[in-house]
Amino acid sequence: MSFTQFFQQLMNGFSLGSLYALLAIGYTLVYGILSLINFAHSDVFMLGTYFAFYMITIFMLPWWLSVVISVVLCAIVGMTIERVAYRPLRSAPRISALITAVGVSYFLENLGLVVLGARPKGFPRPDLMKNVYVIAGAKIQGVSFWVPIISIGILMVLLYIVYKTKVGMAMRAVAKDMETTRLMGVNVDQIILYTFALGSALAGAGGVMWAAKFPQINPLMGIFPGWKAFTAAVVGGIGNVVGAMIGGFIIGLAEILIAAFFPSLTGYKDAFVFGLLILFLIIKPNGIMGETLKEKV
Amino acid sequence: MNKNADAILSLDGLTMVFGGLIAVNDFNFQLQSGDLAGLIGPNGAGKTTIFNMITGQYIPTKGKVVFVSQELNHLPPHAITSLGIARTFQNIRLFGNLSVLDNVLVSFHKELKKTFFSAMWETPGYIQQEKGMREEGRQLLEAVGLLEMEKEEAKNLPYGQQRRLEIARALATHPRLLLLDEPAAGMNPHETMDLMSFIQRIRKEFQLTILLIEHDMKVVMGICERVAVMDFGIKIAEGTPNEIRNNPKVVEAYLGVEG
Amino acid sequence: MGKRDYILTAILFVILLFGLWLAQNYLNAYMIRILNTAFIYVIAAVAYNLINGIAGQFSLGPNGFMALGGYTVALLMLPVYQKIQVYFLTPLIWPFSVITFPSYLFILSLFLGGLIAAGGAFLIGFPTLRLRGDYLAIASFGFSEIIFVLANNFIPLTNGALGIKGIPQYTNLWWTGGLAFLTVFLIRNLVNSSFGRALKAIREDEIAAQTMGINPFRTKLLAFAISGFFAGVAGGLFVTLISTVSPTLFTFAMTFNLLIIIVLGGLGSITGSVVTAFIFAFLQEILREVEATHTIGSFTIPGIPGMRMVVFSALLVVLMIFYRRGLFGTKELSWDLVFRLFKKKEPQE
Repeated sequence: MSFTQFFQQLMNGFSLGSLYALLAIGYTLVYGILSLINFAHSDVFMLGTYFAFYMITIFMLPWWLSVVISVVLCAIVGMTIERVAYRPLRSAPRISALITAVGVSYFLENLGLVVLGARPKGFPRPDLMKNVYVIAGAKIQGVSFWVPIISIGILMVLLYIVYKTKVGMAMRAVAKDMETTRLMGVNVDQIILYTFALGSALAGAGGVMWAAKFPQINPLMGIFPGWKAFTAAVVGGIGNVVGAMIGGFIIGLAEILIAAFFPSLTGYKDAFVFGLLILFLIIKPNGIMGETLKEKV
Repeated sequence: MNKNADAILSLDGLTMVFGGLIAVNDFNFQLQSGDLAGLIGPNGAGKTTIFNMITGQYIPTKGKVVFVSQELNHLPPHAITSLGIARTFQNIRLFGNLSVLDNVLVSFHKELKKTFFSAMWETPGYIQQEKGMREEGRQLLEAVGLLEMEKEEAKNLPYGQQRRLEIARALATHPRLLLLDEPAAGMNPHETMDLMSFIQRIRKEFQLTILLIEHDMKVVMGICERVAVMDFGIKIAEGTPNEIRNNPKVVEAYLGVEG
Repeated sequence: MGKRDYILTAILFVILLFGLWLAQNYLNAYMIRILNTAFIYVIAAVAYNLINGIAGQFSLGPNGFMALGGYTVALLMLPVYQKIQVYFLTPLIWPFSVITFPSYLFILSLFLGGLIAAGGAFLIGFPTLRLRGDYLAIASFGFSEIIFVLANNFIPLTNGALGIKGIPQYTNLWWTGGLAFLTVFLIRNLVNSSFGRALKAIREDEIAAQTMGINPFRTKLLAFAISGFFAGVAGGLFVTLISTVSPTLFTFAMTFNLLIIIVLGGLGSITGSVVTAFIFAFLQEILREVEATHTIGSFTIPGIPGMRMVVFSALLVVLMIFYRRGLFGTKELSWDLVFRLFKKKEPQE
């Protein structure tokens, strides 16, 4: 493999990794606060692509506006799921909430199949993403170039929100100790809603960029990226925002480079991600950035 | 004579650090077989943390726990229980949806020879074993006065009886050393009096060594022969109840607060 | 079980055999197929409930285990001449290319299918069950997806997306009914035993259970492997019932069906799962109507394909929010209960 080819693959991996990172944030934020694997998160990601798709094709809105609306709609969907399905079960055994999450996820997927149709739809890419750039002799596709840049911009904003704003501080406080935070006068329910909104908005943004990269969308498209993004969150250290980003990039790069170096193993690249998950759970279950959690006795 | 040699439990320089917080610092303590000792101190002094280090929930940052001349530091909780240490929890942790009898029977599981395979096929040996176990479980419930409640779900018991059941469940593991974490918490004076005689009775009946954490001074001063006082993770005094009562350091750090 | 219960259970077994004989001889093929499906659901759901309901560990693996069992049985039972036909593009790898079990070893192939599935369960359980948290859910979900990927890609073993056809149809009502009875018998005994109590204790409070001397990791792992074993057997029965296996046979939809069954019956109630497995098998057929096109007079109501799963998933969420304990909660149907139902209230009660 020549250097230019390698560079192309690297950029490709970066763009894929940044999408996993965007998606992983939502999993890690919710898990950090509620200890819940939000299975429906991957379906919010899927819905994000459809929202944008219809804005562009039916309402003929410009691309950037469609993305903004789609992100907002995703945030609303995320909050609705929390309010309707998860909040009533907050004091129930953990397995109940998990089952509900699986139920919501499966509901959205099947409703998608019925309402949106099972047949994949071609997603209209904006010109920006279709351009080809030549950098150091390597031809870099528009998506491989712009997706990481936009994603990193979004991730910076997210870090600012989580670490520098009052809402972000409240989120971290709720994750540390929900009861104490409540006693301090913070409206915990509201903060949890915000968390879902934030995570879902990122999933929406990630979804639209995913569709720009892989322009075939269908109602089941969220399942695999979602599962890999959760794996990324585990690899990075579940509950840790920076860890989720790192994990996302690791999974994205690994997936692309495996396929690039061992083309015969392309069919098994998902199995490789699974292997990575198992490996981390054995060797470093707290992930790269995770702290050792000890249950109170 | 080396004091450690015949100690049933010996805590040597136990230290526990959480992040930057030193919860317990260089804690030394010995229990002789048959002792009934108390551990007191203000909230957050690190008493429960010491229990958690003894029973393997926490791995001490420094120091060691020695039980009958065996070091426990890196053993998991269930292995420590098998060696003969049992405990109760400050916030009662019963198996709420299981019956009172089942709560006790769970503790026998570790000693069983016939497990899942013979259970599936209900071999005669298994049925025999199950019978013997139920018999012993009932005897134990009778000893703590809960036999008539055996079929009730544990979560439906009144508070005082839940505490008793927790002790019965701990006894069912056949311990030599019993750790009680605030057994009198939430009890009225009458229940507390009952509890005190109950503790003394099981100590004799089951030949136990007992270490208890308690806030209720009446209990500690009434039944413990030896008391250790903790404040901010450090042991500030140790002695008989009388010595403790008159120790100026203790009065300042602990009893002074209580009035 | 006491002596009385043994006798009653034996009588029930005889009645079941008679019922099976009646069904086999007097019901039409359609009804027999539903009954077969129901019995296979019973096996898989009871096994699934052992880990989800009794032990309280959330697994999403049954479809993966069923696939392992199904493919194993298919590869062992498919005649060699049939193998050459099926694997005409890429030959089947040794030793499966030369092995064919005679029909009387069908039971052995089911057993081996179960063992392979139990091995798969061990593989995911080992890294995840020692950790607190819900890693089992995500790892078992991933595992099942990987089985799907392998079934599609590892063509020399699985024949890829085309699947394997022409598997001898050994499974009939005697097999499904008999094995369902046996599975329920074994798992109920297990749940009522000391091992079952240990699992329930872990479900209620893992830290307290461990403090009472139970090794949670070993106990959970064993339960998960047993659960995987019976799922594998169910998978094996399924492929020899419909005589074909392909990657799409054991998708997440299968796990989801089982999840609905055990939630509706009551997480932790083995007998509850038995009852709801039957309800579900028939409900599934009734809801097929929703997807079909209907004509009433001059009106035509177009069928909505896929609507069944929308209904089922909505049902699951609603159940969890409003009726979490399901039909039976953690209670079991027992002979005692039956007697109490038929007896009039006695003064001491």
